[in-house]
Amino acid sequence: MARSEYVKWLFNLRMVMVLTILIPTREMIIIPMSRAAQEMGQPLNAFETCIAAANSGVVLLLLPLIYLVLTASFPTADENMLFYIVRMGRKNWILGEMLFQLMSVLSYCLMVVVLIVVQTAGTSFWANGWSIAVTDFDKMDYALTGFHMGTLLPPNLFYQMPPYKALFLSYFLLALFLLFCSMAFLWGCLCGRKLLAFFLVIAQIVLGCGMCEVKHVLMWIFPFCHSVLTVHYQKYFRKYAFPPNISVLLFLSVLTILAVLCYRKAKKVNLDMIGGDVFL
Amino acid sequence: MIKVDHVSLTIKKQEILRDVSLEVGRGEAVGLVGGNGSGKTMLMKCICGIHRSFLGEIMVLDKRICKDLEFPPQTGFIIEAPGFLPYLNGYENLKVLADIKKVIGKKEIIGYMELVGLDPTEKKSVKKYSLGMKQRLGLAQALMEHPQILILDEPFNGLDKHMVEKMRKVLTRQKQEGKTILLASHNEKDIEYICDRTYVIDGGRIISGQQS
Repeated sequence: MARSEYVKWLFNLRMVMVLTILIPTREMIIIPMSRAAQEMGQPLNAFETCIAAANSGVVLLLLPLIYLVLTASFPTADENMLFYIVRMGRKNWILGEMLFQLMSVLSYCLMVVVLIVVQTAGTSFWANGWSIAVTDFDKMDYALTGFHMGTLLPPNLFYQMPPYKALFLSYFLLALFLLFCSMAFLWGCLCGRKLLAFFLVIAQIVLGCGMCEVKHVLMWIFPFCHSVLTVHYQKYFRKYAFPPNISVLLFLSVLTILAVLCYRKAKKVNLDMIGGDVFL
Repeated sequence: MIKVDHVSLTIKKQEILRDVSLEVGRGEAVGLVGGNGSGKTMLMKCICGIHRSFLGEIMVLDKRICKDLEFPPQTGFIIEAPGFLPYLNGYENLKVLADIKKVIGKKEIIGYMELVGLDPTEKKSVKKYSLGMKQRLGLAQALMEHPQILILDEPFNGLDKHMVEKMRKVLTRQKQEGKTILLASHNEKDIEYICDRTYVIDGGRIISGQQS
């Protein structure tokens, strides 16, 4: 069941949209960072651009939006799915849908990492240490590069942890956030409000991103802010603005609640009413 | 075998089914005739447990659907156009479905594919199948796990004259083997050929029930 949904998702024509991630990441992160590294005569770490993407407001806004568009036609409830559901039962079906969401989120995060890393792989180094281009950003001539490296990879991130940990935590939080979005969307679908759920999920992403950008005090009520690793830390070593462990716990708690809600709702839902594509 | 007792269904303030009652006995083949939008498909969806928000009671094999059981037991169905995984061939699609319950093996799948006139060794993926081939694969899917009950909504859609004739014979033989059949069709000839009785449904109401 989960495999069938996953294969449908993976070989969907809409999947070419993943490639659109290349444009903003290249224009806003890879080119400026590579140019700055060139100016300093220092190579970048292979994962630094990836970490920057997962901690930059605009790119991080696009990542969940593209993921939602990719999953807008799920859960499918076409006749083929009905053959499965009738044979396996509603409980197994909804558990399969949740497993599919987990698989699609992990695959999507992996695709993002690979698409970004391959662009700088040839000119960067592979080690668990930050590059001098990033750590000595203050020695760079701002007039020459036209941007400040610290805005892409903020010091409060590389002061706190090595790049591998930053990469793992950044994408772990992003994956939890994507899972939250897709589970909220799934619950909306089961309630027969697919379109409304789609726009509500998008609205909370956009609002959360806006709040996060202006560092508003209310930003922590939006799940989006909990998915941005850099805003969790202050400049001082192990000084938190909000402990990332608490964010992980919050995500896991909300995901558990959503999973229970979806599970209970799936027992009562009219299966012929949940299908369809938001864009059709 | 199947008992629909005073079933009504309203969706978005629109009455889809109005106080529908019907019965299908063991080994009986009953036809459901009605125009587009008459409520045939929705009634079948309710009997199959796909649509749950109906009022009234539906019993299949003495179990209340949506109360005692999620879905009717030992039932094969086709409702609307059957869909399959487009990148797999016909045999692989049936194998994936058969692997869920594991009550049949390769031999039965091949047997039922041949019964409906499909070649089990055909490598062509289902996305290259014609509408008629998909319909026959749907029929094989409904028959393959030896269900006692068959609920078939327009099973002859997209089939040519020769195939319709062949499928009629397949269903007649199923009836002779003691299967209970509820068959919806636009074509009254299909119903006359296979069914013992007919219910006519119009505007969500059963307007007549008669011997064929």
